[in-house]
Amino acid sequence: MSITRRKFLKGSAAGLGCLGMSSVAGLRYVSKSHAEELAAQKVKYVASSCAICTNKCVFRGQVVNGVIKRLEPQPEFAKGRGMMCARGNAGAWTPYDPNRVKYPMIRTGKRGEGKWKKATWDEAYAYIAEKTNKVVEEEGGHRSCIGFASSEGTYHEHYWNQFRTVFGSPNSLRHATLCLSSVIRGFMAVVGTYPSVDIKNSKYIILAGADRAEAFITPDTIDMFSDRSKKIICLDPRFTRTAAKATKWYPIKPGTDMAFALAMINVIIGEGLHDKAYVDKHAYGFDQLAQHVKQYTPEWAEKETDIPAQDIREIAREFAKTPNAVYYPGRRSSWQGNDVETRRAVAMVNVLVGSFDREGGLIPSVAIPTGKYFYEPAWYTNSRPRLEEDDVTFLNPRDGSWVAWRERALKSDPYAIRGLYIYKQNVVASLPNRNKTMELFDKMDIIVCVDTFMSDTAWHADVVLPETNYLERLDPPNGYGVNGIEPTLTIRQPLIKPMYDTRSGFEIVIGLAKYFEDEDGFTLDEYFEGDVESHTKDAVAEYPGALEMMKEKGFFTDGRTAPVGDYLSGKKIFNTPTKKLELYSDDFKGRGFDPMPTYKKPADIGANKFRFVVGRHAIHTQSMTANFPELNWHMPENTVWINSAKAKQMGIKSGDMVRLKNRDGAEVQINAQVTEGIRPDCVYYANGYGSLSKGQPLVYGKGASQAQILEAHFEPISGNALMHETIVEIRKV
Amino acid sequence: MELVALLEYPTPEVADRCGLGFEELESRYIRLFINDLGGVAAPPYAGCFLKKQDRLEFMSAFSGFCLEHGIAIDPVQPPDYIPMMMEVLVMHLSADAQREDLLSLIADYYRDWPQGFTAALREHDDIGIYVAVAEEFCQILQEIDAQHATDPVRSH
Amino acid sequence: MANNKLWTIVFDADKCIDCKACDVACKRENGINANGNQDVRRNWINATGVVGTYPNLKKSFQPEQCHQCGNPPCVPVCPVDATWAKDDGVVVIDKDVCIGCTLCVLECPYEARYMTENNTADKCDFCAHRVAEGKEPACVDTCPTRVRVFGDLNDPNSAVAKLLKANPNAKVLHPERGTKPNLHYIS
Repeated sequence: MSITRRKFLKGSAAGLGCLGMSSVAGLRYVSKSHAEELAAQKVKYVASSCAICTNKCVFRGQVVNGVIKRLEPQPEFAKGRGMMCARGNAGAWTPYDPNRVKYPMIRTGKRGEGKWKKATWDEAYAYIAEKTNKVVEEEGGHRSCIGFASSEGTYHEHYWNQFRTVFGSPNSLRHATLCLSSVIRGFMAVVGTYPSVDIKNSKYIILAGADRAEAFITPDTIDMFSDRSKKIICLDPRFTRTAAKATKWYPIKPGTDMAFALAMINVIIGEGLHDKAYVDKHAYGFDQLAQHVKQYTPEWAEKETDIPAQDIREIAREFAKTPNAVYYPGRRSSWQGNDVETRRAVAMVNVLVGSFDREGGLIPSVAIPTGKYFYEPAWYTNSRPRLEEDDVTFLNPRDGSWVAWRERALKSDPYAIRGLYIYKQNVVASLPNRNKTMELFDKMDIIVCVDTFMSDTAWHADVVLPETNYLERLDPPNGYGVNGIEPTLTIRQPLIKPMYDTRSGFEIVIGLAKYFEDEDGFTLDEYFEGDVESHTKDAVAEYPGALEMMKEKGFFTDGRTAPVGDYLSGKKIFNTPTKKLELYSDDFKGRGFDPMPTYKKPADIGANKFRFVVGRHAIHTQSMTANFPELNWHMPENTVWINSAKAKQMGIKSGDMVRLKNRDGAEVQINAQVTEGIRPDCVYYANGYGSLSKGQPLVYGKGASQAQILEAHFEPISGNALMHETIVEIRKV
Repeated sequence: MELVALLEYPTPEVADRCGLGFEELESRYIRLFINDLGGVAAPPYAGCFLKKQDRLEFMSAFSGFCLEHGIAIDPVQPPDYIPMMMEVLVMHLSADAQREDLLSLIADYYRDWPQGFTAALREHDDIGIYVAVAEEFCQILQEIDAQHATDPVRSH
Repeated sequence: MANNKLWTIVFDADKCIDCKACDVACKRENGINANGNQDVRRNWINATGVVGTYPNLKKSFQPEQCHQCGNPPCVPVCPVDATWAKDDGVVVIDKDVCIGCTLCVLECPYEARYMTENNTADKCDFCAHRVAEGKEPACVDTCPTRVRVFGDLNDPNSAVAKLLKANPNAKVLHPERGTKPNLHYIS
């Protein structure tokens, strides 16, 4: 049906008069400005912190005529060493993304069809509450049937968590078990904490995975690569940019890092190179470990790792003899099978040379305590325990174990999950085995997604609630876990006013809470007190001048640094069962695990098969950034890395389209990138592409999705996903 | 003015006049301008249709122009929100601005993108209302240009 | 001449991790919209690609941008005098004068220039607007590993002067072209 211009507009001129739009006074967006507005705006700087990755670096935001121009480095911010990375710079575009979620929207077509209607906040809340209350009633009145997924990064996630708690569901899923829960557990078992690393003073660093030139962790990344006198040994199946900058790179066979660490221990103890005084005083279980590692010779390890025995021997010797040496703990440890035990072995290497609680080594983090935001929990008689509580030994109740939980939810075992409330987590693009995620979605009666971008997850939700962008919002002070050596509190402040009809996480939660009641009939918003401004003030009330400093510079520091040597001097006690650094764990033994890391050979992947490994790039943060124009410019599409020799055998050239298929039968199609820089038995491609959402036009249908090719496995000690247990076949298309 | 109203979120009255059901009109509006099928098919932001300029720079410059001329624009939209830019033009027209000012306003901020916007709508708007609106706007700009260009009192 | 500044960048390219911060900061600072066009950039990284045979591999990264040559070949080829070197060494372009003939783009031995969508030539100008305020170019201050050091080579106390004194083997690119470039590489 078409309407000619003349006909339509002729009719409209008169008709619109009745809409009151025919006079200049009826302008909706434009008016005469006041003097203050005129004076204020030319150029201003607002200090705030980035939200594009977990580092949350502080910047000085330059705003010109009310439009964000550039996010400049804040030279006084120690953790960021006064820099701003590509992603941080590119963040300036995000509030102006034309595909940004602008209004609450309710799905009108099928999930994933992309048909929406605009709703008011109240309409959206009412819709959510109606659907939720209905399924809760069907499930016998227990609200545990609603799952809550969220990610850290905004202070407002605390409010989301508070809402979940007073709403009455224990089922909280966060990113830890897609990432680092196994390294946390591994290090806790040995040194009693997951420590920071004093890279600035380190002289010799072993990096296994931990691609710091691409997966930025500030200030480690900066300290590692600015000082070229540091010796870096890089173990990675891929020749990454870290490998390119390292002193030496070894394409270690995936799944054999424990063999490498155990062989190092074998040499260090065998040749008496360990720090005897340190070990005698602070370690427990040395004799057992010494006996246990006799079998793990460098010659044996060479067969497992593909690293020459003599190199292993020399690395072990040099590592032990160099003061300020550290075997870097790493962060994302969601690799294969024995992740927790592998990280225990790595921790033990550090203990043997006396690197824990020493300069240049592992330093227990400190934080600047903030005023606790206290709230009353709600009591619900019908509450059930979380779904997967029996599946994981060291299950963190707030993080859960995503893969284990999803398995249970798919089987409704021990009870059904009927809805998902998702905050700032791109579940569809982040969980391995995307088909299972979509299956899970199909079982849900209600899916709520709070996001700023039209991510794959938002695209498949029933209700999308737009949060304000990080550059439009006040976020109360956050401390850092990522570098606890120079602890800092940072804040976010608005550079521009919030656009469209968006709300902060706090406002969203308060609004939603009004639509639910607790068992006494009080609406849940009664549990929330104050507002973001008051919480910001309260958080730092005990530090005179802190609020002012944060408003001016974006951060607060009181000069405190992590002490070095407090544990070694006895001033503090190691946080382990034996109160010593544990080279042997009675606790693990008692739970039926190996008391010392015991190597298990990874299964043979089979001829003509490849192991898919996950990795990062300095221009991308997981699945968030591939649609940012300035970052996408550097990588318009992802391509699968295939070793040159292998590719030649298979007749594959760079640019050829290939099909990858995993053991579940899931397939992706992607262009090949033939390179010398990857093991012949491995393949890799970057995350964030192959988007299902048309709201990410630069990556919609472009390249392949990582979530689609990854098989879903998890390990039962910490519940971490195992992302490198994906075995694929490749076929030329 | 009228055009602005038409580019706004549709109301039942407007739908009536177009002879369409309200929901039909609404879903097309959302599809074209907000979030939907094909992503946002025709984002209502001038900067998205500029090949030659950086959008953030364009917004900042336009916002600066408004500030200098005593025009306050609503911060709830990006400065290059098309209905808002239309209103700025209207305000300028009705304020009896100097011809040079008007011409330079159009030259600096109303070039290139109206055609791109119209083209995007032609491709995606199957009922023709929004194309009509966009074409009318292009026509208006041309008329202003022509009117002032032929005025003999023109000076540089 | 002694009173004139000579803006210079000294690179320690060995520190470069190819993170692209310099490119994105430049585009934000200078309002450049590449619109997917891979030619549109004022700075870039020369990456050797993976060199060698697995597993003995090397790869290095070398940031580059306009060299603000002391003897710029791009200046004399311009038919309309749209480009020239200022007293402080920075070579600038007046885009209102530029007619888009592309001769300067073709002439540059470093491929530092490109054509904008407006059909004018463009290139790095060491963020002249920032330098005028006493600030460093965006690529310099954003860099995580501090690859670039910026300063006035005519000032013997400047960081760049000291670096070049301490690194007598620092090199320039394409010295055989006689361009007298003002980008120096100590690694």
